[in-house]
This record gives sequence, C-alpha cells and structure tokens, in this order.
Amino acid sequence: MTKLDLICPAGTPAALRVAVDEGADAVYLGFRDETNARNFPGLNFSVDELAEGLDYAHGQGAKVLLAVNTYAAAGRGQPWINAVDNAAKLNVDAIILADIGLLDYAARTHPGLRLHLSVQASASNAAAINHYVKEFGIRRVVLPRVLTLPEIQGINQKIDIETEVFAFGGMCPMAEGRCSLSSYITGKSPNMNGVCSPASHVSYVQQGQDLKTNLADFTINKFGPREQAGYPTLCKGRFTANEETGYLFEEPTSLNVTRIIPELMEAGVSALKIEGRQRSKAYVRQVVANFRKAIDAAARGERLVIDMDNLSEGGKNTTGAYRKKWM
Amino acid sequence: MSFRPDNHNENEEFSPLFMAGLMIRPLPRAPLNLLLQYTADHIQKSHPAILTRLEQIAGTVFLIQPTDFPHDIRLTIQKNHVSCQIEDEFMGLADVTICGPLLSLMDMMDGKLDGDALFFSRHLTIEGDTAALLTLRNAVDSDDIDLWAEIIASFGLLAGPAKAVLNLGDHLYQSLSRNMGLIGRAITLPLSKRCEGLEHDNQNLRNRLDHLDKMLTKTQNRLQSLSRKTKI
Ligand code: SF4
Repeated sequence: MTKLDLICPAGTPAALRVAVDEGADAVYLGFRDETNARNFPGLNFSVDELAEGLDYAHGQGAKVLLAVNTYAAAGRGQPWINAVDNAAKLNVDAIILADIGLLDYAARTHPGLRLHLSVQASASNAAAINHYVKEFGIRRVVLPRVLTLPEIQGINQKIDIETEVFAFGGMCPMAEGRCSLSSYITGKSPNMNGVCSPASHVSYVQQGQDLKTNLADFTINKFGPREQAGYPTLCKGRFTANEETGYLFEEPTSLNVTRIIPELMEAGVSALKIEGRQRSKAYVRQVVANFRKAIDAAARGERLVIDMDNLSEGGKNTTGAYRKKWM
Repeated sequence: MSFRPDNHNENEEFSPLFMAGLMIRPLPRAPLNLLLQYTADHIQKSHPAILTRLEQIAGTVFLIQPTDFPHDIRLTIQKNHVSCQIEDEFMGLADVTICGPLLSLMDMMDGKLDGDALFFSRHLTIEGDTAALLTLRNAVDSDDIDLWAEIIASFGLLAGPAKAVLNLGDHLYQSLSRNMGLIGRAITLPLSKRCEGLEHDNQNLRNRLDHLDKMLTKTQNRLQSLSRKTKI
C-alpha cells in the first residue's frame, strides 16, 4: 500500500502558504470567477496570484491543482476556455474538470496537461470512470461522498487510475453535481454558478437567545441558546411536518475520516481531500497539520483518531457514507 | 504577542479586557480614533491586495460590537480606502453588525481563529449583509496580517516605546487572565451562595405547599363523605 497524498484547500494566497507549510502534498484552488465551485465573494486567485502560489508550492515540493469544475455556461464558455489555457500556460500540476466539453478541449489542446475528474462529474461507477479515461485520458477521479468503503474498493479493482476521496469538511449528502436544492430557492447552484446557498441569499437573525438562519427569506433552521449552529443549506434544514420537527436529509455535521484512514488505504484510495476553500487559514492550519500527522501515522501502521469538532458545522463529525448508506 | 489566554474564559465578558475597558471608557476618544485609523492605514499600505478584494463592497458600513469593550467600532469600506472609527451613538443603519469578544475578533483578523467555528459555537453573532461580511473576512484572510505588529508600526517614531508598553500590557494581561477566574469567583461566590440559600428556602416552601395541598384534598374528601353520611 502506498502512502496517501494529502490534498488541501486554498481559498486565498495566505491559505496556500499555510497549507504548504503544514505539510500538504498538494493544494487545490480556483480562479476568482464562476469557473470554480467555490465562487464566493473575496475568495480565490487571480492569474498572477496563481503564478506566485505555484512558485511557493513548488519551492517546497508541493503540487498545485487548479479546479475549473463548474459547467460552462451555454453560449458564453470563454471564461472556462481561458481558465484551461491559463492552467496550461502556468504549468499547474493538474487541472480538475467536470464538463465533458472542457475535458475534450483540454485533452486535445493541451495533451501534456494532467487531468483529474472533479467530484462534480459525479462519476460513481467503474464504467463511467473508464469512459472518461478512454475518451479524455484522465489520471485521477475524485469520488462522490455517497460511496461506501466496499463500493470504493470495488471501483478501484476495476479501474487503472488513482482515486481521491473527501476526508474532512462540509457534507454534501446528495450525489454531487446533481443537487438542485439550492437553485430551487435561490436560482443559483454549485454546478452552474459555483455556489450552494450563496451568501447573497443568506441571513442570520438573532431572536433573543435563539438564532434563526434564513435562505432567500425561508427559515431553514432555528438554533436554541446552547445549540451549535450550522449553515442554512436546504439539505441540512430542520423542517416541521405532521407536527414533528426534525432534520429531513442530514443534520449539521462535518466529515472526518481520521478514524478510518487504514481502511481507505486498504480500499485502494490514493489521495485524501480536505474540503473548505471558503474557510479561513486558521481552519486550514489546524486540519492540514492534524491530517499530516494522521496520514504519517497510518503509513507506519498506526491509527490516529483526531477530533476536530470545534471546526465542524453543528460541532459534530461523521464518517459519512463510507460507513453508512442512507440512500 | 498574543494578548490572549490559552483557553477562552468560560465567562468571556468577565475578562481582563473587560476590566481594562472600564478604565478606557472615560478616556477621550480622539487618541483612540487616531490609533485605530493609523493602524487601518498601515494595514492598507502594507497589504494593498486586500483593498482590491474589498472593491466590490465599497460603500458598506460594518458595525463591530465587542461584548467586552466599552466602545463599538465602525468600519467603512470606501473605494481604495477603509476608515475605522469608534462609534458609540451610531444613528445610521449599519449594513453588517458583528458582535463577539474583542480578543476573538482580533484573533480572527490575525488568522489564529476560524470565524465559522466561532459562529458555530455561538461566540460570534452576525446580522445584515452576509455576502459583504464574507467578502471582508476573505479579503482580510487573504494576506498575512500581524495585527500587533501593525498596531506598533502605526505609532511611527514612537513604535519602540509603544512596543515596550504593549509588551508590559501583554505580561499584565497573561497574569490577570490566570487570576481572573479566581477574582471572578471571589466576587460572585457570595452572590451564588446567597442564590443557593434562596433556592433551598424556595424548595422548602414548595414542599410545605405540596404537603398542605395534600392535607386540604384529604380534608375536603372527608368532609364530603361526612356530609353524604349525614344526609343518609
Ligand atoms: S444543498 Fe446540500 S447536498 Fe445540495 S449541493 Fe448544497 S450542500 Fe450539497
């Protein structure tokens, strides 16, 4: 079994430096526009900042992966084409794509560019993954967070490329790339606009000791005085039906796989991905340092379980679908 | 320099900063405003990329309400400039209000604490334009700001003495932080003892009332059965 690669988020140049300093094998990031699935205000990189980030990371032996992982808008695909061309020009170590049109463009125009298949492509079986390998020569696939450990192992036995799985951070309980909950009430979705539950539609209202979280003027949750809060994403909303109030899909919680790293290695996984380009560098520092320790321990045959509940939505962690199948 | 205890005080409002705030309150505002604006200007000069990220929220007014400090702070984002002033009687409407312990807010700005984690744990409350708040947070987080170094640098020629004073302040803060729990308990213990005593008396009274209630029900039942017998 080979040692797992630690893939870390960088929403800003400072977060990139922190991730590299704390031991990331690679950082992933996006341009400051709708071409990436974390198109949050004030976040992400200009072309010049990416060039500087590449210098910094390469200087310390870390790689840089560029996420161009939203779907190109019909009739105005130029920003996506520019993003791919800039990635090739700056020699990023890999580009993470979801849109088959862009995969085709990248494979034909820049044959030397290493391609990773984004989780947004939602390729969750060997046949789909092998199709992307055959047609576009992808070298790694980021698996959706809906697969169990045995399913991941099964896929790895039938494909010849690397698999990357999510290891920590926000949970997306729906099949990634196929969730439209956010667009139902905000008109914007992660797949098309790079944002789920965009901040422009979010409001927090303090009602005495209670906190109401709203999305597009709909109340998504109400937290009591001592309750840990979460973001107002529809999938983690608390709703009342038949006079019962509860979570319909998933409660506010975050993924943390430190306790099952050996099993993920056993299942043939090559890389662990930390979610959270929209989080601060303080988050990046703590999570990357802890995962560096946990991965190094796993490589020595040890199991290091590290709780990071303080950083988690709702103050809770889960191993998600890897150990549970809810759909 | 940290100016922050290793563990956050359970009762954050009763902190050395709160005590310092009581002393700061009567001071004239002009020097504090000067210090705030100098620091803000220094940050803008040494981290120009932050201003570029803030461009899209030009015109936004943030009101920062530290829970353990006697003054509120108004942050106004203008094109190519950010102004920072003490604001105690803010009559206009702020676009965003941020409320939390001052040291946590400063640690957030310094990149030592995660803002989302503070929000999840309810140490931070925010109201208003969430997108503008996110822009500010991301912009500030995009570069490495050493807040204390910036504050010291804003003293210009007096940076040396200012550093000495702040170091002394840090030393005092650390030792006060260690003793604050003790001081807090010394102040609140007699009160909580008295509360416990009152609760005890209350419980006794509730027990006696319950007992009287039961006696009354019994007597009523007996009276009813007696009256039935007399009628027969
Ligand atoms: S609503 Fe939930 S499941 Fe859907 S994209 Fe947003 S976070 Fe993911």
